[in-house]
Amino acid sequence: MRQFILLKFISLRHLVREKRTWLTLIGVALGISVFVSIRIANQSVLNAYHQSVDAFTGKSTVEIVGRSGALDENILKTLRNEAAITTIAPIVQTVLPMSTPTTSQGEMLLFMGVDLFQERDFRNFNVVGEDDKPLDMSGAFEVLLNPDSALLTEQFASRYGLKVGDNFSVRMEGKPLEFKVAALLTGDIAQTRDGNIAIIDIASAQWRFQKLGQLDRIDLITDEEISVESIISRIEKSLGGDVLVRRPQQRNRQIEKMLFAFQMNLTALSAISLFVGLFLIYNTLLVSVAHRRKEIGLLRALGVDRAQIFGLFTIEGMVIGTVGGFFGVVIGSVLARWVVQVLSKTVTSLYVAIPPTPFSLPLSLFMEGLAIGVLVSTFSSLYPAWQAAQLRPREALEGIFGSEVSRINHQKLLCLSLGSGLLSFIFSQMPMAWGFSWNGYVASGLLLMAFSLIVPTTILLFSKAVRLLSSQSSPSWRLAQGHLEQAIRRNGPTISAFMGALAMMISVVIMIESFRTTVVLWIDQTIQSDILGFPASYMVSDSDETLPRDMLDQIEKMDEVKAVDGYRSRMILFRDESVELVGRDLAIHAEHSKYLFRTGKSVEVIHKAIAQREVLISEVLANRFQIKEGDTVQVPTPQGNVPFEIGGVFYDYGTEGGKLVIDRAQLIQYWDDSHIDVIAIYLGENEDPTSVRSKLLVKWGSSSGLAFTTQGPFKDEIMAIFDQTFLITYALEWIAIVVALLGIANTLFVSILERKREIGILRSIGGSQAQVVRVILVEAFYMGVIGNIIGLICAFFLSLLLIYVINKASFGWTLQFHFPPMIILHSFLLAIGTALLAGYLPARKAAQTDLKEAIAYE
Amino acid sequence: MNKSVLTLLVMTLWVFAWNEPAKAASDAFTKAMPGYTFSFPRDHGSHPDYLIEWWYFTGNLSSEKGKSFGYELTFFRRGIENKFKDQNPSLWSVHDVYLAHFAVTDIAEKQFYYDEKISRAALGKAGAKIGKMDVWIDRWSAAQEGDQIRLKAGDDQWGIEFILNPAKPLVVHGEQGISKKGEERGAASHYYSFTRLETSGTLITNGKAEQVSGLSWMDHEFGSLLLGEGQVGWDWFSIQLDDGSEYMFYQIRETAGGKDPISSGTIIFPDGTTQDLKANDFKLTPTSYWKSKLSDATYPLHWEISVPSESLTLTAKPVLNQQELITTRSTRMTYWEGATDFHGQKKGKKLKGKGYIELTGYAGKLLGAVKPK
Repeated sequence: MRQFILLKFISLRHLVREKRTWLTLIGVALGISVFVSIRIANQSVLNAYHQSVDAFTGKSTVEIVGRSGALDENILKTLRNEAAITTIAPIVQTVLPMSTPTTSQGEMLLFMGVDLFQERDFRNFNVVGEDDKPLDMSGAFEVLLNPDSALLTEQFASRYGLKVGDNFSVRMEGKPLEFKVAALLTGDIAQTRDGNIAIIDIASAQWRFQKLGQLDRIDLITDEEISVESIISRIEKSLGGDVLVRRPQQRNRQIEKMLFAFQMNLTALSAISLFVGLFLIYNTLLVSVAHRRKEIGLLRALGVDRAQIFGLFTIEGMVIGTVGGFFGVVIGSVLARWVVQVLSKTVTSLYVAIPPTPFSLPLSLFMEGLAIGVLVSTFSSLYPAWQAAQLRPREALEGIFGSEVSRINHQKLLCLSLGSGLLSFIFSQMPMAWGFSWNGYVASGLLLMAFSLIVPTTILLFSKAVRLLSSQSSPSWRLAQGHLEQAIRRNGPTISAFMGALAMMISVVIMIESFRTTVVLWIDQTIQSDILGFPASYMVSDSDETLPRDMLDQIEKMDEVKAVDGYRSRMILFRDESVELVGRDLAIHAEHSKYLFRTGKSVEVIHKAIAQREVLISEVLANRFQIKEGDTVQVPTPQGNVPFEIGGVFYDYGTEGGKLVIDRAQLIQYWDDSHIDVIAIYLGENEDPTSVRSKLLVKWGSSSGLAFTTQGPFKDEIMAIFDQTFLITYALEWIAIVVALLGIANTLFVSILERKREIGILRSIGGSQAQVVRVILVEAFYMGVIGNIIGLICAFFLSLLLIYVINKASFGWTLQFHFPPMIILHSFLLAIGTALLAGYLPARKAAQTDLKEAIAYE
Repeated sequence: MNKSVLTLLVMTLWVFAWNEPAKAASDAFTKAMPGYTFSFPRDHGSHPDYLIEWWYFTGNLSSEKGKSFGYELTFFRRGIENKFKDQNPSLWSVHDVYLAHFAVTDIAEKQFYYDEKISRAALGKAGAKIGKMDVWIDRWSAAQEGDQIRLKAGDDQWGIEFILNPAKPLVVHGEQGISKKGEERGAASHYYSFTRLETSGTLITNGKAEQVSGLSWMDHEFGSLLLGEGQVGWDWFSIQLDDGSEYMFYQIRETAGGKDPISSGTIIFPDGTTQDLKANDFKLTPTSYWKSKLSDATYPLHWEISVPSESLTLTAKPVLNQQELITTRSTRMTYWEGATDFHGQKKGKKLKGKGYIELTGYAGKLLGAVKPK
């Protein structure tokens, strides 16, 4: 009860009255909001992903896919003899871009060709006619069996005003493929992919998508009483090694692994804001304790004990945390609306098609946000509350702060720092687990600690250096230097925290810059073709659209054209994992463009690869499977496993998960696949790409859905995708900066309030207000400089960890380290600007200090 | 409709719904016309030129311990009229749809179990051979093995594997090779039966296998237009009497109520000779009704049967009321097909027998919503 009264009449009043409290609240709310918004977005995207996966998987317990591509439908005959299989559902599927109605262009439609008789056992969907009326059933089956009949989901149909009986078309090989809406789908499956699903009969699918004799997947429901593992091994034995038999969940494991790593990294980044927010509460309470010394003394004198004082301040912290947490969740959920969109777009372009995710804020996430607020604030208020509790009534009443006594043991700090740095190095060398570079993050934490520990010593050294240099300068510079040196214990944590926030920010910037520079370099060196032709859907999604078959020949015959390289990419299962296999005209690529090989000259490596039928692999793939130049790998083809020697490992930043490249002739030989996804066109000397492009556009027409782009815009497009990927990262960093700014302002407040007495004396011996302001600003400047110097050095090492440990482990890319020199200038401007900005208000306030009160003790 | 229409329901409906879409389609299929000459084993096999065809088996069996059972296994083939079916080279292209119903009546346990299947040919998943009896869906099958027929159906909980041996030669029903179903041209089928098949084999009920033996009946019927205008369903009887004779009756019910004059029957005497019965040669009178709680349909399950020319009177009593097959959760397509006991007199002498009754068109619109008054 007493605690409550104290809280009500003392703490709450303070909290409401003090402007700094509001500043803190904003900071805490922002910090938590970033964390919460990322959590919400991650959760939403994962939910959307799982939902779509589950609806697709339905009730199947086992699935079969081909290692080299599509399955031969004849394996069904073998499967039917397996007694443990209850039901078999063969599936033929493809993703194609919409063509008409024109409003739907840009949408991708997933066609699932299924045996309509078997589907009910597997997936949940209802078929309805117009306006949810049951389908008129007499003759319905004949209609559904028509090769142009398709079932569209209700939401997709209504989005584009399609009704039962209406026609629509998709594009395949540059030509429209007509379908008629036979009926509408509702139910689970209709919810996936935002409804961009069409179901057609398997016979129609095989015929119209040119997949006669092929199945893309076979779903099985197996006997519940027999273990799935034993059924899988039995099926594997009877079907041989050309197929992969697995639980449906395994299909997604690889994607889930990558998603997990991606989301963990985002979460870790968003935690920076949270960290800064924690620091902010810590500061605010320190300020509060310093500011309310007299009040604490009074309370103690009135008989309030230490525990209650401790409780009072802890609860104050918790109140800030709770209110901040509440607003954090509110702001976070607003922010999340945007983050969800960007995230699902990024995830779609990097990993897997995610439907535009509906935003939702489940109660659990709301509570989690609040809990984080309370936890963070409790944790960060412990030390200030303890300090308040330590105040002796008399000292407190008289305004003496009972610290500043013991000396700093610089040797010990440096030893600790060195130890921490060493540990950091050891962790950085450890292998990662669960696809998430936990060791990288631990190493980063240790590194930050190592640099925080050298802050006090650096202050001392800096101060000594400044003393030497500024012996001739004005008193305010020397005074500030004196303050800095005297108050190492107080300024140390402030500068450490500032340094930490700065270092994290700069290191992320260095990482992204390195990444960007690497990608730009890679694009410049490897994309040499004058014009690239591809289906418009190629850049945006998992489209199965290919180029018209005769296109290669026709373009080759054009006078302006010197050479064309037909590029075909398809997925295979390499060592049970989904991997991109590319077949291209390697001779042309060698002559006109290049790969950036880890070792060897592009022309030589490629020519050797052609001559000796070798495979070239990307670095990511090499890392992923621990394979290297000279190794022989078994590549699954429709004609069984074929051994390929690895002719070279090249850097590639275009595909997640890496790729295998073979000569197109091999792709045709083993896969009988003469499709082309992309055509790289090299023009003769003095030919104008722009005019040739126009010619190509006219030749194939705008309705073909083909895109032709010249080198420049193509590169821009890639960079746009790149920047899109890091959009969230940038946004996160900016919010962290804002939170850090609030933190620094608060820190300086603490620093100044604690030195009220000194300032009073300064004023009383003739210092003008302007001089006081100047002294404090100079000190803020010094703090900014120290924070920045250590921050930059720390950032350098942190970015090494980010690039060579965390990023490499999470994505497998080797990035060329690129330290943008401008970052030094930028960070200085930012650090000093921030410090001065944050120092100005406290300085003004200090200058206006009531003289008498300030020196009353003296 | 709370489930996909792309289910058994549609198919069941649609297989039976020959009076509707079949009509338009029937031009593409051969009609059952008078003058057809049966030839065996050819006519045991499939007749893809006809729209609809079925192989129907029922039987009353008992185990060594004296427990009695009934079973039904029917395979249907339904031709598809789709102009693309011959253009699309996909092996999944549907030319015929195969459907099967399987039911077991465990009389002592008062249990009635049924299951159903549907499939396209799909690389051998289902099919019916031409030239000999060999029809199957997955692991359910009816196949000729020499003079015998082997039946397999069900799973490891409820299943059968029987060998059927004809004790009498097969019987062709109707006149001039057709069994008329309506006044329209071609509203008929080619229809023959094995009316007394000695049956033995394994029956699994509730996961327990037992050796059983008894008598089965087989029908094989094919045609392209089986119900005419204004017809809603039929009542069909197969009776195996213990004096060695068998009777088959069917009466087609009209929308307006009453018996279609085309209804007919066949007597198979103990020596295998036969006699056709016209609508007026026999009388089928329902004596009591049973209402299914599942489908709400009311079926006449008890009957008085008389054949004046034979001085035969029989009463029919089902071994179990609940022998209704609801082939979907929707009640639209539902029929009753049940093992039945027969008792009565022939020329003053008491006799009894066993058999099956099939009652269609008592539930659901497509086969007519007319219920007995």
